Amino acid sequence: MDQQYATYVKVSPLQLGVAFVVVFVVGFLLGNQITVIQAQTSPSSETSLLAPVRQAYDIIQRDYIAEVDDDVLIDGALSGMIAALDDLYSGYLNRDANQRFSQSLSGDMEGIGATIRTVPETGEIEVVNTLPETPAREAGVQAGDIFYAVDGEDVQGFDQMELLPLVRGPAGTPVTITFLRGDDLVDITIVRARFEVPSVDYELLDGDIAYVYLLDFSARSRRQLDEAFETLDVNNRAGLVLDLRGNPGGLLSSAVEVTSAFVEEGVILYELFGDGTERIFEADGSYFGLDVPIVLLVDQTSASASELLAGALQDNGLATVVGDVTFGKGTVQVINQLSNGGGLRLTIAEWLTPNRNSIEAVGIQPDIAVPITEDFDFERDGDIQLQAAIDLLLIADGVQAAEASAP
Amino acid sequence: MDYKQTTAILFRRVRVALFVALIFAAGYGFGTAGQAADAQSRIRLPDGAEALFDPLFEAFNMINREYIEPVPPEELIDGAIRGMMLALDDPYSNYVNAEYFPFIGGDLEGSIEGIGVIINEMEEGGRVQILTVLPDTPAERSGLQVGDIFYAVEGENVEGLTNLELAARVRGPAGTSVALTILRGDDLIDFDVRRERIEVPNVEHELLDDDIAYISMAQFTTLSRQQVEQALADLSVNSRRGLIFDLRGNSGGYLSAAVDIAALFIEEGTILIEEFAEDRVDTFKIIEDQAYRIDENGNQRLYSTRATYAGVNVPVVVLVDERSASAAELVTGAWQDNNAVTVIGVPTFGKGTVQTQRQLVNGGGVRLTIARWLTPAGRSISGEGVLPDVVVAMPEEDEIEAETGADVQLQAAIDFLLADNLIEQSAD
Repeated sequence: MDQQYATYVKVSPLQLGVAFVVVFVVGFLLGNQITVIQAQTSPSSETSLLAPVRQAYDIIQRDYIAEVDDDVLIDGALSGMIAALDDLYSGYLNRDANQRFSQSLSGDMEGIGATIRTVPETGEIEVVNTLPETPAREAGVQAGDIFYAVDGEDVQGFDQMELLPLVRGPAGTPVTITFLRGDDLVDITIVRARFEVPSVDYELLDGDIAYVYLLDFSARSRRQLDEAFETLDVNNRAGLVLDLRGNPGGLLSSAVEVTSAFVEEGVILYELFGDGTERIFEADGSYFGLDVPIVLLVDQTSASASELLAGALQDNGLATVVGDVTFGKGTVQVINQLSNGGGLRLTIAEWLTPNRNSIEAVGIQPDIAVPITEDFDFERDGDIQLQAAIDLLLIADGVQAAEASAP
Repeated sequence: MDYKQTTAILFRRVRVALFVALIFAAGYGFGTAGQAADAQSRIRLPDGAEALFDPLFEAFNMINREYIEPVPPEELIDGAIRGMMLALDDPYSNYVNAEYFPFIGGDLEGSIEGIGVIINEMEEGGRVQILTVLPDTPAERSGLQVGDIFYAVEGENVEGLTNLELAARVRGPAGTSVALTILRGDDLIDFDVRRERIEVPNVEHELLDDDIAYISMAQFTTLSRQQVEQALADLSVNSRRGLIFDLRGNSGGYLSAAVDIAALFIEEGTILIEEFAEDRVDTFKIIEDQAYRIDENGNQRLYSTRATYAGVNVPVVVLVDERSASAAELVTGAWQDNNAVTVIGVPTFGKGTVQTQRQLVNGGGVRLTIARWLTPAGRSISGEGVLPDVVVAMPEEDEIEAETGADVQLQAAIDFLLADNLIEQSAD
């Protein structure tokens, strides 16, 4: 997953204030949540299959050199079972992690308001940005700060899923984080708060172009997108740039809602399950009625739901896709609730674009490729992808204007 | 575990101890022999444990029903047990699945069925190479050489495999053959090697210049005591000026073997104190043998000598290094506390715990830390290791001529015994 973050800091349209709020939900496309599957249905064959696990448990609890909490062993067994799938997108969330993960998808969050990423070279977790009007920003957390300890617990070597339960917590409770800033260790005590995570940021660009930046696909994304379109009065502009760079995905339901703003009717995606069955998602009838040229901006960190949106619009000829080849995550996960309060995140399906293309490991090919090369320097060169999108819309507008004025 | 990955340089240096403990073994398997495979009859879940396991049934069912592709159930079970063991956060407690479990501990029984090479994982490149070709084995007769790198086994690329995984593929019943593709220099060479029963070399001895007896031991196996007794007899040790007992690179072995060996050099006294968790000492059968006595004291067990003293009455030097671990540290600590020997070398590895090994009903097995042990004086060596009486470190690689391979630790031991002799002679 690290590579998703490799470039987006550099590539960001930094002029726009709030940059990349990767709300800790990374590259998931979450389908419907399924509740507990009853255990008493387990036939005796499964009981005997699990017998060695019980045996190992029994040996540990009888003979191990120290007392061990039952939950620690069961959590470990569940993590190990899921790890055996060798699937980046399947995993076990213990009770705490599960609660916080569910909350993050609601679009609200209780926490400190910092966006994090894993530094690919070192494996350290660093602050990418802080959200405005959040405790993190007010307490002086800075981009580039590296998580070193949380409430005195050393978190070096933690992955994001391990770090998050420590950082997040109920509004009103304090957390002391030790950051590595340059060569210094800085202790910052932050009182957590509840805040709505913005999914959308927007701006009217020169050339009368509406620019909307979609950060993720949460339960609030569609509403915030509609508000942005209305505020920008988008249908009276020369064009729309919808920026999906750095957007790691989110809820499948949100992806369908957002895509339905652009697609009046017809297929949005096909979902293919492991047993060979297929589910068809069509536009839900909430078409926004956009009638200006649309450019989608994508890059290698546009993943999952972002790719779903780009694929649907591309296949329907509704937008021009500009930028870099996208991440290539063509699978759907669910979170199943377990009876111990934990959650099982499981890859259950592959999805196909309306033209029945799989994007897994391939990504969406842009209609106009504007790749970010290794020698690219944002400071020097500016946001060349955004500029390409603007140029395209201005040319289209010029052509339209010329046609309109032609005798 | 790096300490096991002896480099070729180091190997050349320790010239006399030619069989650095890498006999396919996973290292310091160390516990009580004879306790395995009894677990099936002893599953007894406490009240409420059914609910405890519900999430595992649920997850198992969900994966089987919903996951995007079929998964062999054994892989899920292996994963669950592996995860449960990992949750203990103890490097010495782990799970080995049914494919590899048969190869754990076989070395400690003194022989294996295979081709007769000692292997190690190369520090770079995820390759396994041949460290030693044992004499008079199928490997030697087929022309395998030191430095050969395993490229493929039965046509399957073996890059990235661990020692244990490679051993599992190379070993097999005596009389069967294995097809190996070996990378030698830039060439790929195919070998077809017929497997045999191989005696794992362990205790070796020789008479050094200056009339000094030398014994080295790679592991503590069920045969170790008998082999050491034989070596002592062959060397006529009491008619020599001294004995060097080389435990460098010895990664451990069976607890019972360690106690046996320790008792050979202690006329009367305590060998070790084994300490269990509170209320858990009862679950282990006491296995006594003729070599030692066990007394229970709360959650401790005291192991003492029982008249198997070998009667060595010349000075003894024990050589240890940073790879001397577990059982090797136990005997060294016992001898040190009983003033039976002089310890020369560098501080040892520092593993002061005891594991047991249990086979599970699926054919896999767990290795579990069940106790810690203390030296007779009540010292814990965990982390710090046994400190030598005389510290002699091997020089850094760039300080010596690798080819001459001067063994300064061995030389220090020899010098010590010769000086000791002089003192005794002048005192007479």
